[in-house]
Amino acid sequence: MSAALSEPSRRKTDLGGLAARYGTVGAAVAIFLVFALASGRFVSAANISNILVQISVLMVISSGLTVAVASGEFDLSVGQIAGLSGVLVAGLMAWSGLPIPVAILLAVIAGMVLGAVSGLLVTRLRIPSLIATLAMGPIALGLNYAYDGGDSIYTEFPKPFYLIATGRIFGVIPVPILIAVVVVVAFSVLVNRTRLGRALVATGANLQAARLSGIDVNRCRLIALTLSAFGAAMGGIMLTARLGTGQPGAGEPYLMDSLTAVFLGMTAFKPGRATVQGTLVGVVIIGMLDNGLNLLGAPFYVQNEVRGVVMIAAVSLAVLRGEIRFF
Amino acid sequence: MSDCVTAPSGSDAKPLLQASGIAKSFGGNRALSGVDLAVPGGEMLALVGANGAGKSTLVKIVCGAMMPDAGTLELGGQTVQFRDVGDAMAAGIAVAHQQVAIIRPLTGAENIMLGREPLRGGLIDRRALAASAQALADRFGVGIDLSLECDGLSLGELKILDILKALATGPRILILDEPTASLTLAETQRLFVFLADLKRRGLGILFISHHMNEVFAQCDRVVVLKDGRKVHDGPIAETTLQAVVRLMVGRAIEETDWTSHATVADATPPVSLAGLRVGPLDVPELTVRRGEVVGIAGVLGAGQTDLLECLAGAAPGRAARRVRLAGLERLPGSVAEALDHGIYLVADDRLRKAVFRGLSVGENMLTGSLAQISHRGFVRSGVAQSTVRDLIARLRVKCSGPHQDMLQLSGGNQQKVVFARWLARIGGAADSAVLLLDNPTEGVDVGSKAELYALIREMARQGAAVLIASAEFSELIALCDRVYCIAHHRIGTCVPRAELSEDRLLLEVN
Repeated sequence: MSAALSEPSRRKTDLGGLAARYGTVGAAVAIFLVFALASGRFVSAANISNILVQISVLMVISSGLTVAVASGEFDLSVGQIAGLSGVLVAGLMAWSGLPIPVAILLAVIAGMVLGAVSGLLVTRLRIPSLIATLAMGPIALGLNYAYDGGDSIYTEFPKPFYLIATGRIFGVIPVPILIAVVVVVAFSVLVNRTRLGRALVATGANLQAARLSGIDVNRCRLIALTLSAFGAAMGGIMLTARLGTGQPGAGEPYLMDSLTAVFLGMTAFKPGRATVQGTLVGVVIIGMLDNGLNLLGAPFYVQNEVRGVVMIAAVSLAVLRGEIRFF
Repeated sequence: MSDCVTAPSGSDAKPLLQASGIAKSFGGNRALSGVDLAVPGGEMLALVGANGAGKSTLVKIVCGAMMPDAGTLELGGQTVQFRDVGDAMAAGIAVAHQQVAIIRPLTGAENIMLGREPLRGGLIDRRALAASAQALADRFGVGIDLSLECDGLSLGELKILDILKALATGPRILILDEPTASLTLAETQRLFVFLADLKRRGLGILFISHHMNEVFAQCDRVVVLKDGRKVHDGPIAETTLQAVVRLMVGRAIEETDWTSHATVADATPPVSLAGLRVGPLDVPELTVRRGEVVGIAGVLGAGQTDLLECLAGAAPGRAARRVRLAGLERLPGSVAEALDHGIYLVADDRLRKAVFRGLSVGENMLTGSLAQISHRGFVRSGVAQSTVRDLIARLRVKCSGPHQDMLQLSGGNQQKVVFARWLARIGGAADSAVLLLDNPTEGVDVGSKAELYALIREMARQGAAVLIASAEFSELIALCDRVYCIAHHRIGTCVPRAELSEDRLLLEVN
């Protein structure tokens, strides 16, 4: 039975509504408390700062993916695009000797071009984004290998580049956290406060109704996938700065984690909807689980299992509370 | 519920199916209240009623797709409760829906035996499958070649195959929902020969149709639903088409203070079409003047939707002779272009085409005017909020506030929000607007309906040109200066207000 028919009963259970909105935040707090009790080292300024630095890359990539999901599209190429941009920025600096800003700019543009191509496949050839971006992943990986021959780029980078990962503003705030905050705020403003963002969300909520509202839905979907690739490329560059090398396979794990973060986010605040603030909660949960399990000395395979379980839990909750459109 | 064991009127035989006191509500809307229905064997019973009278809800309850809030179902004298369609099917109730459920790449035999294929060693026994399908066809005298794939069959043959598939479960009751909706006259006649034969074999047939002529030519008894209640139940021979139509319509339409706002001498009417073709629908001529409310009457799916969407830039159409539309000399190329010229479409099928699921009332209202409420790409939240608040107050949308989830609203209030989407864009006066309304009060309660009518009249008073398609003729009569009627894929007769009546419209579209 459709949700509309069961409405009258919902009003009585406002507590249920509250739980639906803040249940995921509650879960994040619970996870925090459990690890705080289980490990003495979890709640220390150093460790919390460590967690935040660790999740900054994931946050940037997930923010972009959130925009895609909010506009009704999936992007399964974020991991490989992050990987490609990561080796590109390394190679452009180390091999081509380009200045840092130029290298970063070109690497970001390269990622966005691939996102735009996915967008064109979706809007012009009407390939579902799930499939278009699934195909774009290996293409990005292929370009990646073609560029670096499959080997890591180990050369020394210009010193300031490392600041992206290790710098501190006023000697306190780590630069990667600052970047993540800026990206989160920018994407959040974009989605919630701009004409384009509202059109994106409308397109994601009901493509046909959006079209009949005079919204250029194809433009929205193209932009959404390009922005998703932008986030992925930025994340890839941050990752290279952190690793100190351009590693061809570095971006790959971020697909699973960013999808999980977005799905977790869809269970928070606005149930069933992908929001940047919701994704932030998802990313924090993933970061705490990784870090906490590490501190507790859990075997590496447990982390994999936890990832899978969290993904399943997140999606089943999101589907329970709203609709996830896959095609 | 009182023990109302009234004998089924019009039939002495004990009915195969007896539904008593069936009630069902959706949200606050009562779809059915205390409806009794008796279907005896060997009889074809017509179930008629205007759109929204409760026919489809009743059918869904009888065939197990929905549970009633109150009331009982008896099958062959035994009380039954269906949890799903499978239950009802097992008990002997089969439904052939309006859309044929035939899978074209499969053969006729494969379609008939779908899901019940005879197995041999775990694999499908093709020979046994063909034999049982053929046996079924022979039993009911169907001469269609079942070994062929269904691609090549006509719609009429597909319909018969569909019914044959329903018969494969050996039902005692057969429910046919608008079986002739897409058939040609010859195909329809063939279908009725087939149905008459089924009746002779003792099947109880429940026949749902908008086509009064068919009902009167083919059925034995007619049940009329009106606003969720049974208002008539009797043999066809004892009533007339006019009487049944009057019952369907119910109360005489209250003549309110209707006045025409049409600009009398409008040299350049905002809508002026000639020789337009949209899909299968021919539009030889269609004009709407400023301030005029013009209706399009037709059975559901007669092409009204395609026409309106084409005028709104949302669907392609072929202009043959002349298009003049809100200053455009051609059909708009996109919805955005149509909107820029003041052409606004309120689409049918609200949930699919107009409602943004999961978005709030406010967000739903503003999707059509994002450019108007934005400055340099940023939404001006003050303007957005005041626009939404004003519209909620002006249209008296019942909601907890701008942030309530759209889906939590009743159908009537959802539709008000959909109208508000264009009011947000139109702003003050609607004098140069062209409003295209497609079944604008579908699934809307009586109270909201009256408010929407008042809104439409007000827009016309301000000078908007309103073109409204509706399957509810009472609506067209309540609103329109003139009504064009669609018959045989063509917009033909234009009935002036003085001659408007439901009987007239019903005759024109048949």
